[in-house]
Amino acid sequence: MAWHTYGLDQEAQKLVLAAKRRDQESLNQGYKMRMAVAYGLERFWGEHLRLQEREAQKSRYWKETWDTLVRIAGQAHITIPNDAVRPDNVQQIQAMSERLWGLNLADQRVALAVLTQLCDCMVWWTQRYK
Amino acid sequence: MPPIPDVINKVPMMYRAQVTGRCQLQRLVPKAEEQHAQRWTKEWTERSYPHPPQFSQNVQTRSYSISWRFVTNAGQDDGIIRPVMGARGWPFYPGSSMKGLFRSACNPQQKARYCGQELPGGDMAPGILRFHGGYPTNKKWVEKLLDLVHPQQDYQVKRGNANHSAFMMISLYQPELNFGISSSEDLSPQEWTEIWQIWEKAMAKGLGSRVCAGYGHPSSISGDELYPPHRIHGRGMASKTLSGAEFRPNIFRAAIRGHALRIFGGLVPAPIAEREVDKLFGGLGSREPIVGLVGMKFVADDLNIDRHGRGRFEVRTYDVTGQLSWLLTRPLPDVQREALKNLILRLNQFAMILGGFGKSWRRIDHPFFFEEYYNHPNKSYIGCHWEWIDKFKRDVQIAAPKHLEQFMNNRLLPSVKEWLKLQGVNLNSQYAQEWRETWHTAKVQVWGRIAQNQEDSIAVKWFHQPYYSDNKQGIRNSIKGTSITGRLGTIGRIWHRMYPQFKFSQGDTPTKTRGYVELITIFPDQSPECRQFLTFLQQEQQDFQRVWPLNN
Repeated sequence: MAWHTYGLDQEAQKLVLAAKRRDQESLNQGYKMRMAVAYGLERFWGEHLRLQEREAQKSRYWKETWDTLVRIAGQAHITIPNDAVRPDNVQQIQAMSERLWGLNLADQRVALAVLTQLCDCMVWWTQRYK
Repeated sequence: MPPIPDVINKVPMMYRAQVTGRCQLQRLVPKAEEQHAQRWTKEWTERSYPHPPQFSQNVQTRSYSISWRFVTNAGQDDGIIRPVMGARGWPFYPGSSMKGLFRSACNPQQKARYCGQELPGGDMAPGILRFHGGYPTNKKWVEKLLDLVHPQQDYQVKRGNANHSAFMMISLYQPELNFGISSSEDLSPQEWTEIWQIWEKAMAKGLGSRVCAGYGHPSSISGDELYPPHRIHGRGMASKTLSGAEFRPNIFRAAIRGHALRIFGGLVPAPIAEREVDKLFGGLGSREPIVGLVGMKFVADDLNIDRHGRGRFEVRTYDVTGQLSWLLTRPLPDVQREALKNLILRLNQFAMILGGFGKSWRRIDHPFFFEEYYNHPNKSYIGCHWEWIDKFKRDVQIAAPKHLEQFMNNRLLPSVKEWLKLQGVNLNSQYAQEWRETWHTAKVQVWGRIAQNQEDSIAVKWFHQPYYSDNKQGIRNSIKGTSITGRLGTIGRIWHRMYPQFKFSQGDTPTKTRGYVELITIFPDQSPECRQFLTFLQQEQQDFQRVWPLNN
């Protein structure tokens, strides 16, 4: 199989620039995202919901990062759930959590490895653009 | 590996989405069997190592005890304040914070030698010291981690319907912390002594977050005290915590801050009063938190936690003696410092004369002054009682009701006005009219009398039975259960206090008598009960005299 680059660095740059255009203040979320990776997919995914009501721009940054992860993983034929979920809908939240922990272990590991790298790149770009 | 059944309910709290339905750390769910934060801390502490992390051999160490609680916010979990986690899952005071605090206590030479300096050309020369941070010295840190924070100021001072829900925080209870410093050069024992002296000077301001509220103060080191500490004794109901009960010294700051707001609010419009109080005591500010000018520290030298009542009326109580100090958090010009000293001293006296601290502070201590109330079972603890110890001459200030006007008009209000003027605040007779408790002649009345002894409180009965009844005519006038006395869930508009009476004879130390100055403070509302009660005070009784304001 030939070498395939998933372009994580470019994806990261796009995410950071979009966040910066929307709201300079949300740039620091990149560091938080990098730390949150250690707590796994559910915690990372849940952050955009937590922020949705009070800090819409930050919420959007997390969600766009999640969408990017889902898209890249999809290119590698790994399906990461990405249901539309409302922050006040406990059933939807729990269903999504269940799907995330229900991913097979190998897929979870790949997803976290990709997310780690993506966030590292985002932190790098954040430092450049700050 | 086969899938784990019911996996989502086995995921540790830390790994869950921090949203409704999964994990909500800061939220207190009334009557829940287990709070999320309880489970979260259990999952954390159970897996931490039994022994503290040790610094390597070349690191110099010293340990200090913290007088009450301690927290350094990790800043990692938005939505909850919790300590930084260091090696072996132990909470940790980071070396970087330690360096920052140490640096702030250095003179320029020390700063350059120990902490590094900028060279001409923009390069940096490193300092010789390495700051390794601090760890608890024993595993007691796992106890009493959950800290309930319950901001009530808006509710108590401004609006009866203000939001006052509690939230959770995680802080260490009376930890002993071991700090480490090493040097890239061999230093003499004398120089190490000097280094630890700098560290102690730094620590005296308080370590970590919320130092203005009494967190993070070492028991054995004093900071920049505005004046020698007040030594006081108090009894009342202990604060409920998730792990039981606790005496929480931040009740002093809350009371003094609240009184400052009431009094400032009687002199200047609401937004200015709020801003000036935030500047003094710290606050959340409108955009970002404000670090207060004044810090508080309380060191209990004798604390007994006990019980009162039976069954569902049982509460935990405290009986405490200790030293209350007020610290300056940054240098001030002499004139300002003197004014601030007067202001804080007077506010402390005001709080002691007219109210109390902590739960139920508006009422006198019922087990102490109204024992017969408990002849019936099923009565709750009401009230609290505070007294001065030691520095009576400085602290007591009133020995008779008539002294209250002198205290108010010659000591308290001038010190407040002086401070506000120094802050550039214009005093132009506007005030916070909309607040429920504003210290303004149009909003408050104080009435007083001398009670001969502990059993001689007249007003305490008015809270429990009619103050006037005439059976023939079938008249029963009462304030019980009205907006004046308050009900469960409604704060009353009356404060009642039995202030220990002292005898002052010239030159001598004042001596305590068996009597009390009985004081009631009323913030009248428009209710008929209130109007009727004020008429009663003015025209139908002789015991109480109006003592403030006098000419209104």
